[in-house]
Amino acid sequence: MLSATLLGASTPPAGGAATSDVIYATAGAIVASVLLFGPILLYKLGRFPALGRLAEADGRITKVPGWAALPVTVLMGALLIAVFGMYWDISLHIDQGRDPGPLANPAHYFILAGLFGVLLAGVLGIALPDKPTRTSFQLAPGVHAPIGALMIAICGASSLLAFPLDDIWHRIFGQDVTLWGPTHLMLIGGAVLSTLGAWALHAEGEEERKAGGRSVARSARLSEVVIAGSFMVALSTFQAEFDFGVPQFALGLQPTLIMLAAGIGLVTARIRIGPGGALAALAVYVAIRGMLTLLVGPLFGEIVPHFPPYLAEALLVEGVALAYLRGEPAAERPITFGALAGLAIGTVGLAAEWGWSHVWVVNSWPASLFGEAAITGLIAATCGGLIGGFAGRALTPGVERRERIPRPALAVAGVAAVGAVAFLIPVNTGPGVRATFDLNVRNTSDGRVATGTFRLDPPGAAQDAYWFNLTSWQGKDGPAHIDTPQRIGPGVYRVTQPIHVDGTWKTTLRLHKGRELASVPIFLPADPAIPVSEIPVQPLMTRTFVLDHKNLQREQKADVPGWLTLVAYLGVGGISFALIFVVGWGLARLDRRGAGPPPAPASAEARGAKKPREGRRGTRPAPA
Amino acid sequence: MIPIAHAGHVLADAAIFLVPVGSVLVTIFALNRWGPR
Repeated sequence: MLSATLLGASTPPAGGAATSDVIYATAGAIVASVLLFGPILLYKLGRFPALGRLAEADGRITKVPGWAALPVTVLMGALLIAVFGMYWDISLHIDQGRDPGPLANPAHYFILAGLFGVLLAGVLGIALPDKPTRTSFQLAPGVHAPIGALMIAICGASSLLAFPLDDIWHRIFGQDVTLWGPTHLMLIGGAVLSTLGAWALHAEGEEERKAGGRSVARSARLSEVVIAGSFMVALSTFQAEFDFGVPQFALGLQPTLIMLAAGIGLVTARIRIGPGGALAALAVYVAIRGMLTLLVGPLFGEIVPHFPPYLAEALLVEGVALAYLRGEPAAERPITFGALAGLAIGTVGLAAEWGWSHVWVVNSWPASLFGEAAITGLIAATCGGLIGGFAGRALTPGVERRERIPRPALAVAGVAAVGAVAFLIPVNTGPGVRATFDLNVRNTSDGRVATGTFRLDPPGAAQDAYWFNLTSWQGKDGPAHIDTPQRIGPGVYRVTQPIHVDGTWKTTLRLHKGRELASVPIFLPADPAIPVSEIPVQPLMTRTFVLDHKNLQREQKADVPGWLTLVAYLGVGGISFALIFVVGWGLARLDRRGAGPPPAPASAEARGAKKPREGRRGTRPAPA
Repeated sequence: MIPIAHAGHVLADAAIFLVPVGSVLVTIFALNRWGPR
């Protein structure tokens, strides 16, 4: 009893945060709310003019009105903090396992601060304008919220809502040690979509500047390129498990998600920014991701996050623009341009990323994956291009449209993109492959390790596998290892590197092939907090492959009623789809109404006349 | 299942979201009700 208690005390909790942590976090939220939102309220009441002067100063640098400049600057800083926290956090969980609590992991502070900053940016954007625009909402007398600021605020609120929901999720279902937990995706999704809010806010500010007869300055373009690059980083966060080399889902999702991100992000950037926009966005993306990789990997000594280069895709988008648009603004024909660019990305771009996967990706893409990835990748890229076309078009209000767009096109693209991803989610254990190990287990200065050979039954089980590797992770005393065994005979393989089989290391032999995603435990530690017993290593042992999730997510509770699972997934899914709807609605409002100052009030005579159709007003020279 | 004993914990948890977002919503409501016209 006592030993069990002591053991329990030494292992991190697996079913939600300690109440003391929750109280501290709540107190922190109260203090942060007062410190951050108090000055904004004082400004609105006319008692803190310094905030307005700060916004104007930012506006002078970025050459958009201060009410658009300062929130975007705050958001970019907040997202940088949050994304650093996210990649660091994932690396810590891969290398060290669960943390003792939400406040015991330093990376969580960055994520929380960053997401708080997203909400702050949205609230700033709501509070700063002192007059309406065509797209703004009057929330209260004198409070004219630009649509971009509202989008950011709602995205920030959604991400913050994910924190308590995540803790509740852990309490009900056990800790889900994967990026793709529903509440994790909700948390990330809010931050990702807030970048579109920033872009909309920037567009609103720029349109007001143009309405005042001023041209777009170079610094405003630079600011926009930073937003575009951040959007690319944001879209790529969903691939993070693959970037680290410990994915828990089918490998086909990696090329599919890369194609989707390239289609949406690069097409939007090219339409909105003009020639060179896709390449400029890419440069910012590479700078941010490169910095994150250097910080997390070499500097902090954790597992290295890789990232796709998107270079071929960016060049293709620019090339398609040159060939198809022939100098005309992409915003005039955004949907056909997006579709063509998506087709190029989904074919040539996919081939380029395939090649790159053999240069700097942990689980390189084998030829056997090509059949399904070529189809889902092409669908994702084309749909991404179409979605990017719609987003780019909405972000360039006032440009004359030269193409008729079927109303359901966006919905069809969205459903097809989600379908391509959803198709790849279901996996199974396969035919019950067995592995017989002949290991040499010994104690070394690096702990207890094993080398040796193993035989698969049936022998051809790993033939044409998508991945087949020995994964050791969460050992606390070093980065995770992912090693590919060497084939030395029919169905016989050799362990090429000593594998950890002690302490908190979790070492499994993982096999992924087609729909099969399975693994066999070589060593798994006892974990009283779950609770589960140790699965010890034995020099001679025969074990059967089980569903990979069973070994990687031991914290998941098995005794949860099915209806509760359904309700929880529907609830979190509903919130996420509502957020996507809000962002889409915001972009549609920007597209429909244009931006800039509202039209002058109609005269008495005009009021009696037929009301002109909204939108398409105030055409402006668009980026070519 | 969430035992009733966890309700306090969940309420405190929700405050991380409710305090900042609620304060913004209450402020907008207050400005509408009592703010300068």
